[in-house]
Amino acid sequence: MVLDPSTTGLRTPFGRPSAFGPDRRRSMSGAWDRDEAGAFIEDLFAKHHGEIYAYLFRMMRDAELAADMTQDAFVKAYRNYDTLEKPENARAWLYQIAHRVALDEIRRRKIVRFLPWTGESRGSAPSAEHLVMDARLSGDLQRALARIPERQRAALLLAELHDLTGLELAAALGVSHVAARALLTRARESLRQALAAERAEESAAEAARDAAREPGRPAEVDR
Amino acid sequence: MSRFMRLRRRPDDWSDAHERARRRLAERLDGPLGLTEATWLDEHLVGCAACTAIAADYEADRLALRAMRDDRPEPPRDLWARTAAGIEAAAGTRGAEDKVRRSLPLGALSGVAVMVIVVGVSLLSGGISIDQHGTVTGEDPSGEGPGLASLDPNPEGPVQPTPIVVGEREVAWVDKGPDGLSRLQVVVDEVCPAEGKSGCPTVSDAARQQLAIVSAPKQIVGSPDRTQAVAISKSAAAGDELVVVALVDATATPAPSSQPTASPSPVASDAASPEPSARASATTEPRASATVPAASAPLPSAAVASIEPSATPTQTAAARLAIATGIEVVGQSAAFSSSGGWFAFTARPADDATRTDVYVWRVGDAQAHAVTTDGQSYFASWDGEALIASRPDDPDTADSDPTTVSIDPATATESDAGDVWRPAVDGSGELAIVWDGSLRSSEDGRGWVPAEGSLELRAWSDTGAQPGDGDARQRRVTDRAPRDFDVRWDQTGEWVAVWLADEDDATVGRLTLYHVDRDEVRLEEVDGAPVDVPALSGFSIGDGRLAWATPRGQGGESSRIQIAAWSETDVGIVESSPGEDPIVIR
Repeated sequence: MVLDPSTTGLRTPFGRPSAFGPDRRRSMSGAWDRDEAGAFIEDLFAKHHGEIYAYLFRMMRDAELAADMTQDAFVKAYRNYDTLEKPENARAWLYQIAHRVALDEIRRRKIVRFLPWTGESRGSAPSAEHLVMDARLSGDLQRALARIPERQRAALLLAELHDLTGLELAAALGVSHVAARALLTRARESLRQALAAERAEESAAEAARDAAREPGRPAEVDR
Repeated sequence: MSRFMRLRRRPDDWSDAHERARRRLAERLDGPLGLTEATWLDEHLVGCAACTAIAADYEADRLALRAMRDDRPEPPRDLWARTAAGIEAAAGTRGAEDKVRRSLPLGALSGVAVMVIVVGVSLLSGGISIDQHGTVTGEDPSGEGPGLASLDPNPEGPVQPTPIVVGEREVAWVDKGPDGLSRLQVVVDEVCPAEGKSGCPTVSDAARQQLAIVSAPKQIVGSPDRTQAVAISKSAAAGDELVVVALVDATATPAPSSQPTASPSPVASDAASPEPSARASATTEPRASATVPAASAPLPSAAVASIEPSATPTQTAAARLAIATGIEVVGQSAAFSSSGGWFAFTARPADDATRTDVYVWRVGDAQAHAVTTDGQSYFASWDGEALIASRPDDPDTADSDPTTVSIDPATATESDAGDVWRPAVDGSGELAIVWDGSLRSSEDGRGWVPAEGSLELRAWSDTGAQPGDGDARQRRVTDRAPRDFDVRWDQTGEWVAVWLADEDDATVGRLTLYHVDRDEVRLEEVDGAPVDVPALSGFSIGDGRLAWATPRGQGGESSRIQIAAWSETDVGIVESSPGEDPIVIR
């Protein structure tokens, strides 16, 4: 009786392409061409850095942080160049990396979800450009987006603003197509409720301001 | 109400028609509904102003979101310069950061022999001889004898592989024999190099011990001292049944005893130790010990049928103790504590599919009992004698971050152990492989599975997983969410095997063996060690052996037991002849 390499699942060598990712051996061996990877990432940057930056900016609501994270995402893309199986999937792959960068940062900082937007960047006075962005992001919708869970927010941004298809969305979020669609469904309801809450709070604040402007009238707030 | 007391609703269990309509309205924005649901929704909207208003809200929100496209923020002008500098720096350090590929590390192999129990392997024959002690020796085509065996440095060399001497260690499995399920036990002292193209003999005849198990188990988990195992089988009634069976050393010289023991005979089919058939049935052998009370709260919704509960399991093949019935065991993580004094597993009552808790059995007790009550907890691993369990932080949502607790199994006292999912802690309590990321409700709505994050090696302490240092690639097993995973360490803490379930079928997956650089907290792949090999759920690792069962081949090829073994310098492989669908002891 002998081992039959064709039927044992232990073909020579032991390593086989994984069902869960690229061939680990290839990625671990450092065999890919660095110049080729560098050129590829440069081309990818030229094509997609604007939208990746925009996505990270919308996720984090911080221009400087978004720039840092965009840089981080492309460096990670370079380092993980060998995990890109098909060049035609590069955009979704890049969004996946950016999405993970965002979630890592959110998890680490625990800041985004309920942090009120102040318009101040970290450690410095806001620039004119920053103030413009602040104004751009001051609407109900942005505040509502900031209130919903980050994965739901990511799903909405990627689907509605960044035009990812269903399969691209699933790839970027690192979930199945079914799960991505379910996440998007929950996100729409979360956003609807968050917007309603935002508008209710805004109405209440407006009523309070109106009451304060009228002398002799007690400040009453609709509840 | 405690958040642990709330039950999650199943995805299709609509509380009312409006909720159903709301869900379908949102879904409709991303693709057409099925005809049935579309028709139902249209009819519902005709008579429901509130839902019609929500439909308008969804549309308006979508338009507002899309309007944001016109206000795309512009990146800073120096972004490429910064990024290029980062890439240049990464290129310079990449070589040093890549995970180490290496030959085997030097280090003494020590500890007790590994035991592998496999169900369903057919009788094996031929190829390898077995001596009177059950020791398997391979054919030696070189004629040089095993003492001169070494790994052939030339993979294109002779067709007949030169065996690798790995030192005698026992390997055992369970076979469906004429009298029921039996354990086969062999001693493997040689394996073939991974590059061996053919000619490597299969493991063959073995000493046998009949086991008091009626139906083929789904899992078998052995105790650290190999004196007993817990078999998890489908019950004739609802759910699963957990039965403790005593094991004996089938290759040892039998001591005079009035109790039946397995024969050390090298003849497999003749070595079975026949047992009274009544032993197999809990109901036919009432004993006074069946009334031994459990140490803690009884198992919810679970009946108990016990026989011979004993703090010191007897060395008879007949000992059998049912510690739990009426439950459904969840996942692959069931395990004995390092001392062998406790056994833990995840389960849900068979009559309440949404509540998942951690159960423990103290060796000697009559029954297992739930040690958590929140209905959302999963057993992760043992940290010494402390039980590590994970649960979703917010179980009322479909997505949640995990939280982990350390539990004293005797008192059920919990202490926080960080926010990772199902850490598999090594025997020293210093390292763990954890899912660091989020969870999502499983497709069937009955449990939780990894969503986004990575499975990776981390330093471990009483406070849980420590932040990862250095290059995450050197610690990472995968950054794709597996449907399920099973991580087991060997006794030295220098080797760890990771099984990742396939996306479509959680009973099969891929198995990888890593060497662990404990000082640098990184995973290393070793030439010749299995990487992503197909494997059924359930494997055994310990004492220089990793054993698993291969899935059935697409061409009708039956499953085999495969055993990777390593010496101080080499890794090799030996396997059984084809058999039934085997399940290896964990």
